[in-house]
This record gives sequence, C-alpha cells and structure tokens, in this order.
Amino acid sequence: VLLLPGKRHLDRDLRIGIAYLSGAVAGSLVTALAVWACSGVFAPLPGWLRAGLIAAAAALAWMIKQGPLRRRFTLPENRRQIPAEVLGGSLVRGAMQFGFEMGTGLRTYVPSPAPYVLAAVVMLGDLPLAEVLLIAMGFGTGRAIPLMLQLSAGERSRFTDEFLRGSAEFGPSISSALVLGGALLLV
Amino acid sequence: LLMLGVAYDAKAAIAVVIGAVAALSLSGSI
Repeated sequence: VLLLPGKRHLDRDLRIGIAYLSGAVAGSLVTALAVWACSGVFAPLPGWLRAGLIAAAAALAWMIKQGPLRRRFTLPENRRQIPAEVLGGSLVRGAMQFGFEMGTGLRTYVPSPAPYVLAAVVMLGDLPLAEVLLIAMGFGTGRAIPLMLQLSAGERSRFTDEFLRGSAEFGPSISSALVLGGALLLV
Repeated sequence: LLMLGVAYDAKAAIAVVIGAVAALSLSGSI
C-alpha cells in the first residue's frame, strides 16, 4: 500500500522507507520502555527464577497461540487491521504513523507467540536499559525490514509473495524458540 | 544495528537479533 506499484520513484520511496522505519523504531521504543518501567517488580527475584518464569511464559504463549490451548484461551491483542485513515493525507507522514503503530505491537493482530516472549523477557529479565533499547530497535527494524527489502526489489508483487510464502506453520514456533534461547542468554 | 550491537558486546547483539526475529515472525517472514 505504501509503495505504489509500477514505476519506482527512488526519492519518494526512500522518504517513505525512512519515515516508516523511524515510526516503527519509535513505536517499539515506547512499548519496550513502558514494559521495562514495570519490570522493577521482578528485579528482586533470583536469576534462575526469572529465567524459569520467562520459559514458562514462553511455553504458555506458544500453547495458546500455536499449541493445544489455541481454541481455549486468547492472549491480549488488537484484533483488527490498522485503519486505512492512518495513511490519509501525506504519504510520508502516514508511513511514519503506520510504522509507529506497527512498531508498538499493540495496534493490530499478533499472529506469533514471539512478541509475547519478548515482552516477558523485558518484563522479567531485569535487563539493563541499553539492552532494552537494543531489543526495541531490533524489533522496530524487523518491523520495517519487509518494506525496506521491497524498496530494493525489482518486481514488488512477486517479491512480496515470495517473502511471505510458506512460513505460516512452523515460523512462529521457530521464531519463538529463537527469541527464548536468546532471552535466556541475556538473563 | 547489529554491528553496533556486536561492537558493544555479545549480549547487545543478541538483544538486537531477538527483537528483529520477533518482529519478522509477525510479517510471516520466518
């Protein structure tokens, strides 16, 4: 939607990409800092217990999103698409706002357990602020990567199809395991 | 970001990577 099909306009596309990336990083910083601000409650717990709680939270998130509890319980998420009005007016400004909302992780569907695992890490990990900021920047950048790769792709619709194809079944589980593994190294 | 993280220390690199992995899982890219 952000990148118009057909002929590429390098300058405009670049501005849209930078605006989207900035918005996504800003949005993820807001969410990460909000979660981190509440994390002091768990700081007195010993490291082994915090690691255990993160693993338990990850297992629970996986079971509810991908596993046997899928139809019984739900995790908090905004079950709607980001409204198209966000993109009204200036395309660059709309891209920034759209990126911000995507970056927060709070304004649309969350189809994978991995962000919940990430939130558990920030909440329970007793991480230094620098690591929380890097997690947030990684998340924001990750949110913007599909659009940024699309900027450099020759044929956009074909590229998008290939990028999004074939990972729906195992992708969320693998990514959650990767996030959990990395998280346990941080705690 | 990743290079910045690696330059800082290994834990910082891990922090960047797990953030990016979680985000990419939302777009169906992983």
